[in-house]
Amino acid sequence: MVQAGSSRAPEARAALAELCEAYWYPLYAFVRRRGEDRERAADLTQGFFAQFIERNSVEGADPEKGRFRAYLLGALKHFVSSERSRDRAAKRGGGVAPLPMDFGAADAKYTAEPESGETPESLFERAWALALLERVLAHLGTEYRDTGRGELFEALEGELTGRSDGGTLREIGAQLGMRESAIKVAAHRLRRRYRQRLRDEVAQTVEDPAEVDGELQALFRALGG
Amino acid sequence: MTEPTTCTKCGAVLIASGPMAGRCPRCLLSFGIDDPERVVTRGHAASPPPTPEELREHFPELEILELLGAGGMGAVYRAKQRSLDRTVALKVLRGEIADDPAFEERFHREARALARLNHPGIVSVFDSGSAGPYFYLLMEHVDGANLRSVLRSGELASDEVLRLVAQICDALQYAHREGVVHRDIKPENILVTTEGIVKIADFGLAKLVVSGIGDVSLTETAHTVGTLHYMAPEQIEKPGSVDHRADLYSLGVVFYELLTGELPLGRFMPPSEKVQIDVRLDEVVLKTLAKEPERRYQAADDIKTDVHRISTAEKTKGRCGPFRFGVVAGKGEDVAGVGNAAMEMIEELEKEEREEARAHGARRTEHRRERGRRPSAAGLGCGALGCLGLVVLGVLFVTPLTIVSYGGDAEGEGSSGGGVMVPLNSAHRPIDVPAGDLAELPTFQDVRLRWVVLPEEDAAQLTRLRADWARASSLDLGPVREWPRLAEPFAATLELDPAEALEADAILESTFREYFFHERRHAVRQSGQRDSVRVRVAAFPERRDLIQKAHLEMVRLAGQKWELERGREVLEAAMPFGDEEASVSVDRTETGYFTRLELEHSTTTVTSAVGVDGLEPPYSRLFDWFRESEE
Repeated sequence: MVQAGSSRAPEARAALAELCEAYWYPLYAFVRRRGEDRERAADLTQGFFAQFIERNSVEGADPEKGRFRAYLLGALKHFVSSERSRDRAAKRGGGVAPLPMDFGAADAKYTAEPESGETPESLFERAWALALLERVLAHLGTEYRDTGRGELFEALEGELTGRSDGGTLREIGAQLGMRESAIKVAAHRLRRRYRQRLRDEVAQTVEDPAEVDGELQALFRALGG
Repeated sequence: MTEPTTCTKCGAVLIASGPMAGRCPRCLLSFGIDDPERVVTRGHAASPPPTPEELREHFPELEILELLGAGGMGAVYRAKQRSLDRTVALKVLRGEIADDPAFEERFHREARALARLNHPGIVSVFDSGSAGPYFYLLMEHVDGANLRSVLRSGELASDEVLRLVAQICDALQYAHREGVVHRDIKPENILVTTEGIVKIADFGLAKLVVSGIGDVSLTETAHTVGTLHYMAPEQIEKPGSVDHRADLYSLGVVFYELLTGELPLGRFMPPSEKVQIDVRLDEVVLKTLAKEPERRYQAADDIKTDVHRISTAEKTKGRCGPFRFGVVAGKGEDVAGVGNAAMEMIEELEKEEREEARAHGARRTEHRRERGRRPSAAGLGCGALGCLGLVVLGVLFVTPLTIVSYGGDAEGEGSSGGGVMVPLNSAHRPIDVPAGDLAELPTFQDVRLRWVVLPEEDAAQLTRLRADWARASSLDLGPVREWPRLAEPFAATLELDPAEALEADAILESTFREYFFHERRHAVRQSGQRDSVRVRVAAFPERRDLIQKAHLEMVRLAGQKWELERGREVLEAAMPFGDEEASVSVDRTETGYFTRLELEHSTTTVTSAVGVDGLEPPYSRLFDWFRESEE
């Protein structure tokens, strides 16, 4: 299904781990919102990923559900319920953390989540959408910095994010010594590149490229659209 | 700390903390969903463009990377040319277009013509031909975006628009000289590089398509409805027989759109009525958009020249109204006095200039010109000459399109023949009218000098200025009226009312030739009830520095005395440095002829005499001179 999970090759496994690393917080938040305390949620999250990556498989995945996001959540739910019936103390993944997880930070983030009666599922989806965006922006920023355009990225990022503290494009251009049309071209290209990266990122988590739009729509709704 | 918590664009709650704090997730996400530049095949239901994979087998020498866009004519891909390791753009023409059996020959012919075009403002064609079922063009890949995309980022400032338009003109001029007409100039075909350089794409391709479609109507085939808006009228009516002027029309549409954000549809308004730009641009844009090719600009270079003329003058967006002022003497007044005053000033300035030159040991050729003591053939005396000199010195920042109305009731207020100050309201409608019967003015000696004040500026200043003038020039300008308080800096112009328009024309010409100008362009136009003669003259280059110097001083002065920060801004905005043109129009109305002189730059000495202390030479000397003559 998921591109990252569709092969057992080592690189695919690494890709899966990377995806999990990017998206583990939404799962943690989900578990917390289900009422687990901090420690227990950390345990479960860690345990889940240990098992998930270890198996590195699509076992139990519903082929109808082409989305990694949904699949991961389904797998987590399954894991949590099966955990309940087991001796939890025996299950600690052998003490090996499958992913670098900073539960302290995650907990701080979780406690900052609005208390607005959000269901665990909707919190998960929203957190997922934000993790996705954060990842795309971070990658885009890295790409710009790596190609010597870090300053341009910083200046134009507001064009994407809705932050308008950087002034008009004309002003930004003046600060960077660029003509107005040139800065507008740069802004256009940044949006274009961002769009591409966003869609690529989403494409990593769906089976069929045609599903990208559907997934984006779903995430948009998850943001309270 | 009152950081906004909701997005200014969509109203969604912004992310409160973490690395994404302050960002709007909805906007970020929607970028991936709403894609205005998504590849869509426009026009009628055409087959979708081939995918890069489909093309691959036919273009083994290329690595086809991605589909960049598709339109009426075909699809464009970004590709890498393996042999040269360079990025190129591959344009694959739509299959439907190539169905015509005669297409192939025509295609090769056109492609050869395109490949000959070699200009930085034109996307180069490297190669062309057919591969499998496809006709293709291999082109320079432009790292940038098209003007449509740039426009989506919001309107451009007018100076940037002018810069872009000038570049488009360059490219068009080149292609037209090479005998290639684009035929489909529109924002989508005008690319802008990441350096802000314009490159026009798809030269001549429209012709390929148009002539290939036989009896199928244009709208149905290669052209989207949007493109039609950019087409010259003759192009829609007789697509087979257009020349380069069709491109100029399309450029006009693009120009209009760049300035206003809208298309010039139906009875559209001049750009300056929609956005705050130099009103002189109206004339350029409207001329470019003339329905009849004969009435349009005839060459892209001419557009560029006019655009350049305006852009060098344009410092800001002409937000404030025109700044004009001048003085006019009435019938029977001592015009000679005015003239002499002007002559003195000119001499003073020139003397100053010479002294300065000497002081700097500069070897300068003196441009001694015979001055004003010699009556012209038309019976022009030194007074009139001087008067014109004065005008040149005195008329400031005249914006040519301002209309000053005439006629109406004289109110009998002016002294006999005396100039009457004419404040105009914001609609440029005269509140008062000049005294005297224009038709009776027999000779140029009866030059009528009159204040025309456009809405702007403080009454007291004007009144004082006028009084200063009257004293300095020994003129009786009639009683000083109460001035309404004006919102913006005042303006003034000069009207000359000779009995014979042509005579005045001749006089003006010879005068300006002798004193300030060396070149003249003459155009006669007939419009409505008026016979209008326009004379345009250009300033002596060797006088320009002097004029500019005086101009600057004027700005300083104005900032000091009449205003206010805004005043300075206004003046700078209206300062047409580098603009060499003045125009004189001689109009015939029901009551007679009148001549309007419009100088787009001038010097400042007259206003320097308004009683401002602290002037520096040479203006202080002029000021002193005025003082003396007052006493």
